[in-house]
Amino acid sequence: MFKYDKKLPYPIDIKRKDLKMAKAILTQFGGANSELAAALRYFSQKFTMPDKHGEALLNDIATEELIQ
Amino acid sequence: MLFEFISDVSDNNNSQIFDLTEGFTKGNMFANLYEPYKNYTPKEIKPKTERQALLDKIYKLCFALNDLNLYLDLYPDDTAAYELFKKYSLMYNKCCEEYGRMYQVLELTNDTNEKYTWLNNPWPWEDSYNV
Repeated sequence: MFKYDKKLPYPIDIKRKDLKMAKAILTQFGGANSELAAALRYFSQKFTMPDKHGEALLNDIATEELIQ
Repeated sequence: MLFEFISDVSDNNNSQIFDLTEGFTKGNMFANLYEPYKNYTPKEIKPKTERQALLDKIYKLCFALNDLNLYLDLYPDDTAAYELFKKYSLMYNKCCEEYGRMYQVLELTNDTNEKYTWLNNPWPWEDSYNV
């Protein structure tokens, strides 16, 4: 059901420390309005989708949110 | 009707699809769905080594496959998009296999050489990963 690939969706190249940026990224990663929360919401919403397009789309968007 | 919206947006069918580099750089494979952010110009990645170039190709193929996946969930009958998906899938598998053979294994199920390497190879956030 879940498979980890040893790569990122986009390469990173960190040149210097930036606390403000780090905080902004962290709020995107976790918390109420985060990618993580969105992914879990999509995953549970897919079970009640009455149509196969929506079911597949929610499943695949949730997966896509998890890699962010 | 509940899912009328699917037919409402069906004129997105046969949309022009960006090439791998442009799609990856812009974060969108579909020309008619792409809107630039203010006057920001997305930066194109320039690989410095052969290893980076192969990884770069894998990133691009992976993104294209993800975006085509979401599109095909809504328009499974778009044969042109599906042909492209199949083509990129084969390319992706080939590149991953080659990267695993030459540099390091990216998928655990490809770690089938004489020694188990998964835990010793660098992780993506480590400096030695992107060399």
